[in-house]
Amino acid sequence: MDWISIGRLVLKEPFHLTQFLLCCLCLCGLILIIQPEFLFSPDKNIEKLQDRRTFIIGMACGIFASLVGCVVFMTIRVLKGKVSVVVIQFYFNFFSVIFGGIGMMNEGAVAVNGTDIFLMCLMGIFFYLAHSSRNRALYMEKPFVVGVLSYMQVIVSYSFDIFIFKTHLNFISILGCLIVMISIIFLMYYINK
Amino acid sequence: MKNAWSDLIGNSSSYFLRCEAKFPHFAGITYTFIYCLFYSIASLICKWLKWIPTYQLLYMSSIVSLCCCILTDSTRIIPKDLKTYRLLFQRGFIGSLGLVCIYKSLAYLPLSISILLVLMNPLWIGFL
Repeated sequence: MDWISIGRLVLKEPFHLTQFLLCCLCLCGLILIIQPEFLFSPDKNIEKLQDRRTFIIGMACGIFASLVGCVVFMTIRVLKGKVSVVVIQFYFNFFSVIFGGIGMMNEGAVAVNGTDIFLMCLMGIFFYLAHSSRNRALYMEKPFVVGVLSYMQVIVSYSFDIFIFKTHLNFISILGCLIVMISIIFLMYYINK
Repeated sequence: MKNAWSDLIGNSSSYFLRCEAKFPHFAGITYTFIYCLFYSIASLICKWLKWIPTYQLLYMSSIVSLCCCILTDSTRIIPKDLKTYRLLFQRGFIGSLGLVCIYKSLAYLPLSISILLVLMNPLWIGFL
């Protein structure tokens, strides 16, 4: 939804009502999967679930991160054709190391064994491959398509939860997964027809 | 090590470029699916290592990714024109700031609300 708006307003990309409706359907499916407490909890009072101050700070951070994500996507789109995806990734990781280092100095670090170091290295490689793929996708496709298809990440994560962490999913979550997948399939068909 | 990694990336890139030329309409979509899969695997590892402080995880994973970038192609890291350089700095700085905010949001809010915010909030920008 985010990249639709940005792409339409700033990049002047073509945007149709059908695309908007399909994205709304995808978003509804996402809400059913995630089931936020303020919508699905039997006790609808958020203040009882979280401390009010903590909740507001968390919301502010989430909103800011989301806004920042849009700017990042826009920047990558502007950089299309100027530099390779690896160069974009390099600058992102360069600043992440600085931010991570500063944060680690404040929060402190724990001692880790060989297995943990191996897993952290593996995580870094997977993040590198993931971000490179996303940057390449943004070079080739409209931002809103990348945005909508990124919702698949939630479904993949849920698959990990079911098959690896043995998490029990309820009917509403499964319905949400189906709605997201169906809307994505129709959107892909609509774009490529 | 550097040659082996460069060869691996070079061969993979050639293969993907051939696929892009063959199926141009589905290349972007395929890359997005690859992104989702790899990102989920990385998140899975992150969940396994949840007892390690987030900044330590961010620092270590970023160092490894940075090494991967340097091993892949270290010749074109400094762009020729100033505007591109500024855009790259903007992407790096703002992106990292956003990443820290996501971690903070995850720390302060339930996972479901955080994911929902990150994925859907910019919709409001469109309305604004």
